[in-house]
Amino acid sequence: MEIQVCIGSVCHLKGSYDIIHQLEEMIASHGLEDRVTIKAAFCLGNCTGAVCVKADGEIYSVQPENVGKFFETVVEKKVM
Amino acid sequence: MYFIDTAYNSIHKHGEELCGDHIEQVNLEDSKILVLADGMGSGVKANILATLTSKIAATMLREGASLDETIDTIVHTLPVCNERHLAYSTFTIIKAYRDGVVYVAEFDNPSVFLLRNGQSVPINKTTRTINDKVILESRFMLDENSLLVAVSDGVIHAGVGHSLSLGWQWKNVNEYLKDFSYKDTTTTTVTANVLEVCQKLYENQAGDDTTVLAVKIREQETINLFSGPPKNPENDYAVIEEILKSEGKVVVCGGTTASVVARILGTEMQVDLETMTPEIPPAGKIDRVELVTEGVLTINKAIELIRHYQTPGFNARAMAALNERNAAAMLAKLLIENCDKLNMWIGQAVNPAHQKNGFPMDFNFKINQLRELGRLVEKMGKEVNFIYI
Repeated sequence: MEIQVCIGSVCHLKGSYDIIHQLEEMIASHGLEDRVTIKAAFCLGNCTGAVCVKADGEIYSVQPENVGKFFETVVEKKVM
Repeated sequence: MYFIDTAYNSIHKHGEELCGDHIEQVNLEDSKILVLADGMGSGVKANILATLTSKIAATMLREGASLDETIDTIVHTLPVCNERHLAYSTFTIIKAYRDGVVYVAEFDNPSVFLLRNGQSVPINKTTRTINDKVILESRFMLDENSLLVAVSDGVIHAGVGHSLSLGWQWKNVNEYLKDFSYKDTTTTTVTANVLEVCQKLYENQAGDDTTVLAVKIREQETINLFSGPPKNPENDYAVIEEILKSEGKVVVCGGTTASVVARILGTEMQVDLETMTPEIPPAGKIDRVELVTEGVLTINKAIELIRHYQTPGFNARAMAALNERNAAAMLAKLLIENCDKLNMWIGQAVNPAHQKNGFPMDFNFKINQLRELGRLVEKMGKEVNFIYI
């Protein structure tokens, strides 16, 4: 599974740096390095819903405060 | 026709707020004139003497005055020092033409250094006396593996009273410069390295104003900086084709712009996460594009870095900041070192997300920011064109 985190201007200001690092930690702590890769992407086209995160073709609006919830409901569900 | 690559910088004498060395550069269609003047003494007095000398020389030579007239004017203009009853400033005048021909006139400064293919090249000089001043004149050719360096005496004396009893000395500086004569070294690298050595030899307490000026020639390097998609999306294809067809390298600044370019080229963009910092989004890579960065935040930081670099007085930290691995430093370094001509393709499409959401940077901000970047690049003696799309 591939997760793309937008790092365009708006998303960057709204915390993509944080989100990428949080996701990296969560993936490592769950031992999912082989099954989930994180990539950055420039502008996913949904700037009003920053930060844009794309997983399996679907776009989610994620904030640094709710990365955990995104990980539980989207990532874990799909790969575990 | 070559591009004349020049760079210069100074270290102030320890404790002095003003530099007693001054460099003036004039850019002409077929040549560049550089004047390095070192005013007698230090501080305000030296600064005035050096500034006057270099400004007069640069202005008069630009307007086509002869060397005799210029020196005569300088001699009669400089204010006379109350203590020493002298009006005095040494100078080195370099006129470099775009075909590689160089003319040098020296008065009491350390002899210029000429290096080619890692070897020191002796210069034939003729003597001329103008107003009782003995001027050394020389003419020679530069090629792409040549380096011409002029310094104030602060460089060859570097280390006196500190680590070296006789200072760095001309012959040692000459030896040190040999490796910098090759094609792949830029003048910015030369001046930064020389000044860093001086800084160390003086143990950060320069005993004299210390100035380095480097001149090289190279094939003209053009950068096409593309930021913002075209106003009318129907033009995307045509505009991007035109930019990619243009001479030189392409740099894309802006997430949306990058996506459009990748889509039209039918490729995907790779983002280099290693270059991400909390402040600046990472750089990316698209085939046929030299560098891809995010827009406003990266450009803002690049402007800051270039401004810092342009602030008079050598600053090792500003130089180090340019070598960091982040998108803004990569952009700034490219514009400083590998750009002789900059075409700025400014797209006027409005990003809806920037207009709401409390995003602090609106459309006008973006355009003004790009103009500011262009202005700073122009200030370094490069040609800048703005193309609004």
